[in-house]
Amino acid sequence: MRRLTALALAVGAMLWLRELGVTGTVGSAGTALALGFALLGAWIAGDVLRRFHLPRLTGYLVFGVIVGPYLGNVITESMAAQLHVITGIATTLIALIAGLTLNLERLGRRLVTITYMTGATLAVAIIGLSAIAWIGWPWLPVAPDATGLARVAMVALLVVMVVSFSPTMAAAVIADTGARGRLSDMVLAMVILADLMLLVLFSVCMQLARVVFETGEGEGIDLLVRFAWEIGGALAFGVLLGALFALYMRYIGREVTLALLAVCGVLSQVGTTQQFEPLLAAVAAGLVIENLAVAQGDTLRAAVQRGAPPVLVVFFVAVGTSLRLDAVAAIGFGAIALSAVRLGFIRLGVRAGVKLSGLDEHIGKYAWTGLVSQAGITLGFASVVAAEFAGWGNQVQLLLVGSIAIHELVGPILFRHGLARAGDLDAPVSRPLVVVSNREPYLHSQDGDGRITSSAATGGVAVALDALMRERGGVWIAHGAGPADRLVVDAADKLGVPPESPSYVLRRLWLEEPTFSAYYGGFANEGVWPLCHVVDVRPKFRNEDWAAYKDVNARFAAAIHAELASPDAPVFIQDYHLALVAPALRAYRPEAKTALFWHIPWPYPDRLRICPWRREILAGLLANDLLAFQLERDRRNFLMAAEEDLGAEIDSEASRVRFEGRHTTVVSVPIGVDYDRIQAIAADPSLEQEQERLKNLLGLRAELIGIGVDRLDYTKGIPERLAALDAVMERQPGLRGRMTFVQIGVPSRSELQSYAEIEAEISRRVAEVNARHAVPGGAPAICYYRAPLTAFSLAALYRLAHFCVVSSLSDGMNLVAKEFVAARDDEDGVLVLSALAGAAQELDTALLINPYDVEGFADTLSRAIDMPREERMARMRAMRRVVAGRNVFIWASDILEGLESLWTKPLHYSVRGWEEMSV
Amino acid sequence: MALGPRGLGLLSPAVLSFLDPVVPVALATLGVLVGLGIGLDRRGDRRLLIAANLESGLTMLAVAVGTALVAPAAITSTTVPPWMLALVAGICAATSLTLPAGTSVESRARVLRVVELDVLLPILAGGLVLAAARESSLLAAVSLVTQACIVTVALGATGWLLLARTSVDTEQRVFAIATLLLVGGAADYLSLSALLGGLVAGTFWQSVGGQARDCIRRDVIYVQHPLLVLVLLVAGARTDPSPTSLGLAVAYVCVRTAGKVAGGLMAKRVAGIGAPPDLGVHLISPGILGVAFALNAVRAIGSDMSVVLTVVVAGTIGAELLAGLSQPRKALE
Repeated sequence: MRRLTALALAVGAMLWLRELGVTGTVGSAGTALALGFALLGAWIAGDVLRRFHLPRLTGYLVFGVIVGPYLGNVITESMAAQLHVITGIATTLIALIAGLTLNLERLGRRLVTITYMTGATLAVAIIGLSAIAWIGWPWLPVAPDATGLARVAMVALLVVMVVSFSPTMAAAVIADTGARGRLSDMVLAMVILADLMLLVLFSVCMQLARVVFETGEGEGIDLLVRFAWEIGGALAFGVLLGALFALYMRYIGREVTLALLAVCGVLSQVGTTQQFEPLLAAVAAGLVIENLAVAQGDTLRAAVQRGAPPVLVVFFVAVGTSLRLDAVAAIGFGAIALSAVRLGFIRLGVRAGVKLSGLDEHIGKYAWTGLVSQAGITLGFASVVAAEFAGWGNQVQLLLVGSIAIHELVGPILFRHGLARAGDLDAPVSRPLVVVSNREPYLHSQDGDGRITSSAATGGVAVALDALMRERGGVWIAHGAGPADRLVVDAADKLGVPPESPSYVLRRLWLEEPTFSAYYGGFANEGVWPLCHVVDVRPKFRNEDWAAYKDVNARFAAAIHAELASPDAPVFIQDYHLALVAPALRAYRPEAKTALFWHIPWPYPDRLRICPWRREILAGLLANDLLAFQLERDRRNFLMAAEEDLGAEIDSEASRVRFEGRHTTVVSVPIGVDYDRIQAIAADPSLEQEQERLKNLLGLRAELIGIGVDRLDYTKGIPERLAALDAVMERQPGLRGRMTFVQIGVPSRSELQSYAEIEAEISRRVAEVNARHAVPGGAPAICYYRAPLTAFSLAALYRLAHFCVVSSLSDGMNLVAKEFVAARDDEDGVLVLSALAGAAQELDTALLINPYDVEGFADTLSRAIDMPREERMARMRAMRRVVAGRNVFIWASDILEGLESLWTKPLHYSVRGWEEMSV
Repeated sequence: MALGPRGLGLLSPAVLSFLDPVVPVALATLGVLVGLGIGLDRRGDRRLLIAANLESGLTMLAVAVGTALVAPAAITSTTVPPWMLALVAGICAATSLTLPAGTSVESRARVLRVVELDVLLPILAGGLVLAAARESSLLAAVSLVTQACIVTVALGATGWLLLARTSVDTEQRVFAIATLLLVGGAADYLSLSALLGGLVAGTFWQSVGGQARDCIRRDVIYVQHPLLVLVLLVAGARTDPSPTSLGLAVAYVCVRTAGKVAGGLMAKRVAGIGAPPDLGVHLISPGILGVAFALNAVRAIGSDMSVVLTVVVAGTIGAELLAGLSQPRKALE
């Protein structure tokens, strides 16, 4: 209603202006007014029609007809003539957009099939329609008396225009329906390629028509030379301008929208004055820009989205204002007949294409439905012909406007039907997944009686991936580390898991000593781990460790190759142990689709330079299609490193890296916990018994309990935590005997010197603190328990605690913080969290500390101890909202869907967001 | 000037006629920018408004009188009455939009505000003068300007109705561009001042506020520099330098500078504490609104005004050089 009121106001203002206006002013006076009114009114009209599921373009045309000089006369004849100022820019813009949609890299391997399909379809349609048009020419309402070369030229132009398609209409239907599949991919590729071919053909036919109708005296060699100059010159000019624009985008990159429109203006003006075919030059320019300025792709798309709609809308209105309703009505029957014949030949052509290309019959059978729609490109052709060949050109435009109206209405309906029949609208069937990790989801061991038992990994990530694999099926490839692992696998080292109801395959990889220690303990944990965590532990890089790392990664890649049944199956690689798997896999399977999640921080480029093999690692990671980090900071650091160390091309807006001819999308997807599972545990009635058991086991009798749960790792800041607790006890002696801090420490990588040292230090410090603050008969200050607890026990412990401390010196995320929050459905408890842990980015209502500032840390602990219940609840409630909204399943599906969308809709990406332009 | 038909010819008459419809939109956009920036609610603004009007009025009068004295003898190739040429020249001379550097923060802020406000009187006067060129009587001119302002407010309201509720980026942009085209186009269609149209629309959006104002502001800021470049390019290309016009330009610079210095002295007294003692020197730099108005006059009245455009363009270059020379000396002092 608001919009219609605005439109009425604008119409009223226009009429009043007409009253006030003077004659005899500058010729172009009124152009801007007409442009503004056309743009505003047509947009509203298009919007109204869209609400009735009718195409926007029809709305623009109808608006033009209604307000134009032949009906409403709000836009007068002189104003309508001024609107055509924009025609040149608009038609070159349409051709440029067509060029911009053809990214050769995205078409990739399918180019041959698509070319066969498109070529055959066009050939059959053009030959068939030409024959029909030639025979039926006397009855076509164009120029029935034309004969000889004139008729040849007219028929050629008419047929090329009649056959043309609409990439954005196809893209709009695909976007509207959410179609995913081979038909939608195929149709999109076909319409893009076909329109490019037709643009070239149209240019050739226009030259032919110019020769025939304007300079018919040209002959022989002269004619050919002129022809070659016009076509070749257009291509060369387009390429030059495209290259200059690509350089402008790359090195200046400011006001790209205006520069783009200026390019269209130059193409239109200079092309015409120099006798170049502007449309052909524009297509060439678009192709060069799209394929040269790859890294600026999204900037370019944004520029087109910003600048094109106003220009194109005005162009469509201008066409509408030039139409006479009576003439359209008279030509209606001809348009219907033309549409029917066109449809028939397109079907025939597609059938021929399917046979020629060997395309799956099921897909090919419905491809024609996507080729029915027509829009801006056809209209652009028609207006060029009408402008250049007054008389029969106008008749052709009328005929085409009629047929466009029919195809616009029928096309989307047919295409929807085709997509449904081809199965592209069905709910997507999940492809089997290949997960690759160092650690396996199930370990097997043997008890004293020789019985083999299995135990599932308890980590949040392992649990989430296990659930995902249960749902999707597939293969999980991991190092077989359990003592009885070899006893349960088949001859191919596989077994079905989970043991109680196998739903996917676990493929175990055997890594022998000393290779395993060099790969895992050496390069991964003495080199990469300290490199990526900013702590005072020097990374150690040894040649033999690096060799083992490469060797093991190559073995993982070979195992993936052996297990990868379908090239479509996504491969999800876990963590820093497997940075070189993707490039090794590419040697076997260049087309494999891989994503890698890097769980730990990614260092700043200066720190990364410590690693002698950083370039190999960077290049290895860039062999993945998708690379995911925990935090935005890590993603940025990686992009900087890729640019500085490899000289890779970075598209910051799209977060894509182009290196050695490949694209990698780099994203940050913070990991979560299995919130629902923890909730279920927290609601378990037997949890209270477990809490009693833990109290007895740990000797907990203090009224105030704090907890810390960590692997015994130097990055976790446990000595700093103990120092802060010591300071608190010192300041508040009343806490002695009243408060116990439970430190769960799970030994990890103890064979490494740095880990052995930190374990010894923690034990010593715990003893010191306990000795210093012991109260006869009171609870100990620190309860140190060096063993892993089950998820159930941990939940019970979390709910016993008044506060939980995470004091990492550097941490990718830290799931303990999120598990503690997830377990507290009573909305009580305080989380004291290191600002240096990734979780702090999301849980900003925790009490944040700097673990290096022991005094400040102690102050915060005091605050946690004394915090009123209302504040505790308010903070916990806010944190629970964050943790619930980002669980580990969302994390996994974000990454996998991101990976799949990279190749299920690669061409849709080319025309993404351009649907409203009706090209 | 170098690229124009009398220079290298890259901006040929054909290209200029292609750019012509954009000029009123560019001018209206400048007017909108001024309108959006007015907001007379700051402390001391009323005093500054009076001071700015006093200063610009005095300059306008000085240059108009000077031109009226010289024009009948020097400008013979035009059918436009000398009083009209004089008034247009005076209006063009009255504005200054650039800010000299090197002043204290407080002084700078007050000088900037004077520069912002001293364009109001010339734009209003310009609107009336262009209407008077079209109509036979002053009363008819006032009536026309009033009606044009009402139409502009209606167009502004159209934009406001559309922009206030939409959240789609493309749609916002389309509506903002359409509204600017309508505002500029309306003035062009009526052969009136696009700057005044823009000022009225900008003031309307500034007063209604909200999302509509923010959208317009965002898009106007996005296109302001390219449009300024376009205005200067077209203005330069449309000049017709001759010994007479260059001589007039020298006189124009002298009278304008005298007017600005004297006007600055008067304005300083009204503006009160905080205005620099040499306010007039800061206002010598002419900015581009004067050139924009001269171009507006050529567009509305016809090529007979080209001589004024040439004088204003050359005078603007001269005044800019003079301003540049006066500043280092001041800095040394």
